[in-house]
Amino acid sequence: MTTAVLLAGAAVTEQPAGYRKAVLKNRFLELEFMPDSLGRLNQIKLNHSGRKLLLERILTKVSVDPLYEFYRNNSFGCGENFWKNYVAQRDGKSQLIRPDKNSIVFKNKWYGGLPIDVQRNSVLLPDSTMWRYEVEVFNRGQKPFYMALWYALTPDNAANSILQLPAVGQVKKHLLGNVNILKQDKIVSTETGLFAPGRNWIATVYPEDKAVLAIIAPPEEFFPDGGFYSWFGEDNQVKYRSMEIIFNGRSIAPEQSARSSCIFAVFLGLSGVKDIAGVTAIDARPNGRQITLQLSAARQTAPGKMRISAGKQQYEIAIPELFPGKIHQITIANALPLSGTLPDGSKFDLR
Amino acid sequence: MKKLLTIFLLAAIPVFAQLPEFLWHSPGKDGSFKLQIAEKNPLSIPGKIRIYNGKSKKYTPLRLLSQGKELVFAADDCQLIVRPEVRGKLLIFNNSLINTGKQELFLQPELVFTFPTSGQDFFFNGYETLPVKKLPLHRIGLKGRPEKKLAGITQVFPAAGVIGPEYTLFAGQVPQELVSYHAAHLEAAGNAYRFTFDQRHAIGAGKKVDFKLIMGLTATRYGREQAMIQRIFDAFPELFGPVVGWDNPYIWGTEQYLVSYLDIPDYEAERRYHATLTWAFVPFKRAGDIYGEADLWDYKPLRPFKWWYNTRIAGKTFDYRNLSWEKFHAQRREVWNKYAKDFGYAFYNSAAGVWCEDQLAVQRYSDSIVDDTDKVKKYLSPWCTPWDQHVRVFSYGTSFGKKFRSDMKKVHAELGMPGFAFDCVTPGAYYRGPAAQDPDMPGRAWDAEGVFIDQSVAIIKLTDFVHEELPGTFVWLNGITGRGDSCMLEYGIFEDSFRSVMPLVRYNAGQIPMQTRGYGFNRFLFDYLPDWRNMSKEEFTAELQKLSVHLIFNYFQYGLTGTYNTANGCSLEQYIMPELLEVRKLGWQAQVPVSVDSDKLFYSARYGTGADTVIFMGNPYAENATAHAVIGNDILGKENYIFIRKMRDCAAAVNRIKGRTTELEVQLLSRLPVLYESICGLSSVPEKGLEVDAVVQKDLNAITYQLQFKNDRKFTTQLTPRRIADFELAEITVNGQKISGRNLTIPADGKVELKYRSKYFTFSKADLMQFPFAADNRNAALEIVLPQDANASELRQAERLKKVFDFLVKHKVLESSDIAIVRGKGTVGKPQIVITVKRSASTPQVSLNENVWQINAPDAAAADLLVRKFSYILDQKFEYIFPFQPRAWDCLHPDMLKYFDLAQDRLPLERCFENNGGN
Repeated sequence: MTTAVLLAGAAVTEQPAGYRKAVLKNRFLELEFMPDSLGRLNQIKLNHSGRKLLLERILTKVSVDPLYEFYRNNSFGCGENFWKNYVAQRDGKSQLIRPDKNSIVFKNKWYGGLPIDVQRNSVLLPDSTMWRYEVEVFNRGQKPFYMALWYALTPDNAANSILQLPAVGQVKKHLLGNVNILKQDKIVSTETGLFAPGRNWIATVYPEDKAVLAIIAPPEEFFPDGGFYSWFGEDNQVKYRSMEIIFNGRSIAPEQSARSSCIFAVFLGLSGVKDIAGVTAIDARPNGRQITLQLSAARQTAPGKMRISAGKQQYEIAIPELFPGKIHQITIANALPLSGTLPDGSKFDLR
Repeated sequence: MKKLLTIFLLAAIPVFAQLPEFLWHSPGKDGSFKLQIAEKNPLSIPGKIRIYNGKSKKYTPLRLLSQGKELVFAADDCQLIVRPEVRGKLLIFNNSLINTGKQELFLQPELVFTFPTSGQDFFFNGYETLPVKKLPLHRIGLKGRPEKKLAGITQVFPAAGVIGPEYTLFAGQVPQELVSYHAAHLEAAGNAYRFTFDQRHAIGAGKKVDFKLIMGLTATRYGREQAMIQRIFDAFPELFGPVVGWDNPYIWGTEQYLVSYLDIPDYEAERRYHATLTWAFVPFKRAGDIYGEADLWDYKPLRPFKWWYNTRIAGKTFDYRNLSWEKFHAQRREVWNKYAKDFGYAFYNSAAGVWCEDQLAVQRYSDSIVDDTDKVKKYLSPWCTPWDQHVRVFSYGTSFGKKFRSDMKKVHAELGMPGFAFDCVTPGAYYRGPAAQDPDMPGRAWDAEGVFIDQSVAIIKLTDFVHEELPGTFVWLNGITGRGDSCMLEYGIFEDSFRSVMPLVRYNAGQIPMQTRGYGFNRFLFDYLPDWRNMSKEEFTAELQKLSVHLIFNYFQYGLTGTYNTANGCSLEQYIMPELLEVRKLGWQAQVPVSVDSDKLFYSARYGTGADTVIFMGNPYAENATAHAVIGNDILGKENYIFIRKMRDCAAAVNRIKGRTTELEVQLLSRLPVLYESICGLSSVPEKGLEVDAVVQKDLNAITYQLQFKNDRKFTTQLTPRRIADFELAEITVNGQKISGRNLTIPADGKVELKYRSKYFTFSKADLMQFPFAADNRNAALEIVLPQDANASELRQAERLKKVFDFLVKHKVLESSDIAIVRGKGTVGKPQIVITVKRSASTPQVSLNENVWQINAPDAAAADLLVRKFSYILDQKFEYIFPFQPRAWDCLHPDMLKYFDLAQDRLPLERCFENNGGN
């Protein structure tokens, strides 16, 4: 005979639980998605080193008693979240479709308990270090749905990585609400909260791994009302600093749908980043009176001329084909700031 | 089940009448003493009282000067007097520390013990129970740092203990003492533990501080810290019960959020939710000026005045943008006079005098401002009056405290409210202002920054002020600091915070009623069932039913009630409410002495002690279970007790009393609350044990317990019958012979009957069900008959009864009601309810004579109570369960109601307290 009474929450148990995984990979990257968590991206692995770039979504089964059991997660993982409709903690089973080996589609009806259906195609092309989210949101509710997409990544970890958040200064009013008011434009690395964006990308540098992880928003879907967010915290004794990007908002009428896309990229070979232009990240290091520029592309780019403007000085430099995983280094006799245009027409601004 | 020792031993000092569970010796020449168990596994615990000097940072050697009833020790610049006392099963040192020097002393009296390790020990630090893995373990201060689980509502229990497999050693202080700092430590001491409990006192030159330290050594049984908590409950029942008394009409019901405060209250609806008290939130313009003084009325707030949800009282707008002082007082008086007593308004007194509007505090009460807030906020902005900023103040011995007490008396005189609502009653803010420097102030403690007094001292003094200066006025705490009569827990049961603060809050609350005020299902379900739209209605409501049972089990486990936001649509929660309220009023207890032969975990709780015990058990599994239960009677009281399932109609149980236990088969119904009530206590039973077949029959007017003893020879015993709410014991018979007194000789195979009769009702449930309220059970037609010169109370009760039927029509239980209130004589032959108040009746009673109900009450208060009770009786005839239809806010989310078409639905009801389906 045992004393078997439930005393003071003594029976509450917490056990680790896990998500099913679905993987997209090419020779550079392995992307791990979670079909049971609204198709969120859980992990990015660099194939050459095995380095995992993200803190993962951790699931715990909490059993208070047989009547009340639930799963608790740390809200990590990158899926569609929405400004004013925060669903980062919500899980849900997705319908999973594999149209081809480069793509994975997740379909969710009543996504995260919201009155919307979300279908996302994630595409990782061969020989690239970038992937694209192509999203369609259908409003199945009876009221307009305000869609301001919000993507968040949680790099591993704040002690070994550096946030690069290009914020614009002197913004006192923003649609998103109380943004940090900065004296001037700056690359934010340690502050937390909401920021008005100076560029359409947010990144984290992994100096030891010579890699830069970035989220790149289409400018037309990001300006003028989009923003950045970063949060510093600790999970499982690991400190982290999130990189989050919030798109312009728009209203979707009932029974209507809207599309959006977003690019994620890992730029290999860089231990810093000054700007991201198109699919190319650029780092700039002063070297005496010169500057060394390092270019890293997320996919193969065509050769051509790079135009540089440095004060009143303008000139062109020939750029060869760029390949992901290889950096192209140029030394020029200028000081920062300078700006320019890459052969594919995308513009950069180095400060 | 482990066999446990029963340890009631003689005290070494026979002068004290009460007996602890251990032997003890008075402190010797250096303050050393011992606690001992002399059973077959003897245990000797060395203990010592000692004094640490916070200025010299050394222990002060004690020298025994004299020994007698009190022990006088000399120490450097001070004298310690110890007066040992046994209370319940505790040893108390009533102490005085006298500063004999010329400088203020910072002293830390300590109780320190050595306790053997077992490798399977736990430490209850006053905040949580931790397995002893790594030492030292420290709990410092009233908020339980450094564990950092500082939910705002918690404060530590004022005792700690080291819990071994067989024995628990504990030490602490008397609850509600004015002490600003205490701590508990468990450290390694060779192969043993060093367990210390200490307090801090700052004592001015020539001043004396009285303080009490308690200690005990008890068997570790039925849980871990529960045994020591129960010993402290048992030793100080007056400190854990409601100060206003157990019969206060307001504190024992439910509260229903702000519904009866913001909107015009509906008595009949509130009655059906069993609501008796209302958190009357912010009946003032400016925190710190709760009365509303003329000279403080016009001021420039930090932000412009605006409409706010709580600027509406009973449907009347208090728009401070343009409300004159005269109109404010007139309106406030009007609504309070109209509703305060009927709905138990508890005047929200500016958060227990913890917060004051900032400008007012700076201008008038600057000595009262609390600067050292010790990681809690100094300023609140915005808060209850969103136009202001508020600053933390100290309300005892300060200019603010003086004015605030005067204001409380003024509002009470003007509004006559039955209670005060004390918000934010937590410890943790240290006042170091001028009053803290006054050596005559109570609760002066010290730390590296000097002298301070914890906020809790001011709160305790303020709750005492209400009880002493405004007797009968209840104090309703949000938090658990101070002597409250009722306690709100502003968490929902599904929140992590709930599990982090329970059962600690309940330990501190003791036996007073508690309510939870959470968000209900609304927001929670979106996260718990994020995929709810992909569920069928059946799947969704099945989940809801499970969650509802989880709530109900927690209500019973901790003596809590919820609000409409979990009750609406949840039939079982509404059904069990009479039992929940009834058992809660017996007083929640920490230690539940029940063991069952199962490897599963069941909910359990105990209410009451001795013959008044009721035990709750809850089976959260999907299958019913029957288990052999053993009840430890020695924990309940001095007798052996006979138990039976507590039902509304009838029950039977076979009890076997062996030694100091009662054994019986318990029915653990799947996902339904089960209650077992004690029928009576027997002071002695035959040595070889006793079997008793118990049967009970209950009706509205009578309850009869039959005890068929299976004894082969007669025995004599004293019988203590259970006290039953609203009933009185009519007679006890043995084999049919009426017995006077409580001493019984029970013959072989004797039969004992205990017959109770209702204090209020002389009719049966069959009479009720047969009464022709409505000829076709759909269209009510009757007269409520009052005397020709009907008084206000008679008219009021007539209206209330009429509204019972109006409610039933409104909610479609009845199609129509033709209820006429007539004066003089009613129509002959027509069903009638005749009401008289303050006429000839000496006791309140409802009787039935053919087709006439006669309701007689001696006074207005008795009439209120009687008609309310009779209305609950009528509910048995015309049952109504509130559907999911939202009441105010925070029920099921409208999207869910609409999606599943649930607004008029209810979860299925299993009548777990009735054998025959309620018919």
